[in-house]
Amino acid sequence: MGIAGVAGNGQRELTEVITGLHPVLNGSIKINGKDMTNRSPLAIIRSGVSHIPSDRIAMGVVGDMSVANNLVMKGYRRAPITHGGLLDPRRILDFAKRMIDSFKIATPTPATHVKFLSGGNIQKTILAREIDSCGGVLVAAYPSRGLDVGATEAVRNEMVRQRDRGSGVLLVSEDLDELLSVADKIVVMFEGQSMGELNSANAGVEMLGLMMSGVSKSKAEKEYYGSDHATGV
Amino acid sequence: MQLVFEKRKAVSRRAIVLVPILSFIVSLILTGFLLMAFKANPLRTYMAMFIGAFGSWSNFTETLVKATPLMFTGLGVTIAFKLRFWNIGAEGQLVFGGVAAAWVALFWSPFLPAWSLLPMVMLVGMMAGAMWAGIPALLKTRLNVDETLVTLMMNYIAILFAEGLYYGAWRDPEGYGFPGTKLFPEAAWLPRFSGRAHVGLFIAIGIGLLLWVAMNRTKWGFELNMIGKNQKAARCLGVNVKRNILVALLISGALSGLAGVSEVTAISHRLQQGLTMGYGYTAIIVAWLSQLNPIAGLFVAILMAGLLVGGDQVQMMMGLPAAMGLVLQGMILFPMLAGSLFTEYRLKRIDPRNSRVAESNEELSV
Repeated sequence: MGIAGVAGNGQRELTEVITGLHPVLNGSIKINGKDMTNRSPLAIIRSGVSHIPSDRIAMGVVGDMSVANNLVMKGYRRAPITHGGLLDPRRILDFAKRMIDSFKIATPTPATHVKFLSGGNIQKTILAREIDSCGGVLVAAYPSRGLDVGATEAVRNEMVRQRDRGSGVLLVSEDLDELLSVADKIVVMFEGQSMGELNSANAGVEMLGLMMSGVSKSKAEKEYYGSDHATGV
Repeated sequence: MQLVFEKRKAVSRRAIVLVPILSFIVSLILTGFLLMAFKANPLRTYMAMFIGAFGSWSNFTETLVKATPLMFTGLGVTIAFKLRFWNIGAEGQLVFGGVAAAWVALFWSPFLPAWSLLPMVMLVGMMAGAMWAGIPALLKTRLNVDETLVTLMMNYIAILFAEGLYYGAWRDPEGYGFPGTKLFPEAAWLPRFSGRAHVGLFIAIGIGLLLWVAMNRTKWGFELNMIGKNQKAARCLGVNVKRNILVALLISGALSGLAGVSEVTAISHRLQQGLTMGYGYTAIIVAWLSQLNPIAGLFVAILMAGLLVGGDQVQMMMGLPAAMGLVLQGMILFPMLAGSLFTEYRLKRIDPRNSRVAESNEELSV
């Protein structure tokens, strides 16, 4: 599932409400069939939600802690990383090395502070942590924004792989090509409202663009297909 | 030639150790100029201070006496600072802990078996200190009230409250006009082991070691670290920030409260004028100079106590103001703050003809 829209139309807020960072004012949130409306961020994480936040440096990592520690920031709550509240530094290192290998995070050592990595490698660190701990739902806000080609590719592939594994992936993006190639369905948001849901197979960039500027789905369809027909005839 | 600050690629461990030591040396040099203004020989003065604080076992026990409350308050402040909660109220938490200890020691003793009096004194004293730190923590987490101001102002409330008690309601009628309560029953005395040095020292060392393990090897410490370094990210990752702040501050206050308990039960055996010699404020220097490392904090507390005792010595032997020790303590902070820059930056010499190198590396020019 993809969410399209011009930034500032409520997409980030949507992801932060789902992940429990903001209160739900009306409506409800169901995760894996369970009602999780207005539960704590921890309860929502436990119910299986992973989150790749929009602001990766401010919300996704602790820059002054090591890559290894950042990688276990979900896993530190459970065995085998912790036993009776005590952390096992060797297991943290083992886990971190495995993640660094499989997600190809370029870091001098696992003990390097995350803030010294490049944006792409910071994002890969977040991705590794969130994917590894994912319990069925992945909420990703602008996951490839500002990344180089290689990192973007890695992020997109990982999204698709998660979907193929049967997880629900909510991808918020401004990059329409990304949405069209990765998402099955796309919801367009405008001023906090959904403008309608499209199948990415028969949605075009122009159609999404119209809806992103506030044209309703039916009107956009008429205009899009209408003009299409006109030129076709 | 031109000097520039270049951002390091990794945090320098060497700088973390060297900066506090160099800061201390710079502080000695700066204070040396002040001593010369007093027409005193800096080297002789420092020598006298050192001998006064560490020169003999009996002098050293006096240093340990002053180091004990500094360890407690220093560790307490360390926990709060780890969360970037600027608790500068250790002084008030210490005093309030001392008041509560006096209350139990003086007024509960008829109702308690003798063996349970001291543990009860310590427990209630810790709870009082925890409460005194818990109030600003609650205000911060519920209403987002600035903690620096609240903790600072609560110092005065606690100090004046204590004064009100030992000048008024709790004043010993047979005390010859000296402001202080009656002597505590002996069951409430914390045992001494040499001179005035008491077992509070071992409790403080034990807590210091325990705290190091808690901060570096437990889930709790991991969460404190996350909150202190990026509160927003901690919240995103499911850490309960408010509860952690509250719990950490209760512990922080309890430790400062314990400093007050040990002062009244082991040193003065009563609540009286001069309960604290600024231990709660010096604790800030202890925490900062130890770089929030509890084990380093134990040693720094001994060093700071040495400056206090040594300051007293130079007053007696050389006629210099005892505040010399405090001046030295204060002087350490400035080079320390300046020096902490070097943990993340390094000085680099560059040739102005090649100044394009400087521009390309995102440097901070001086």
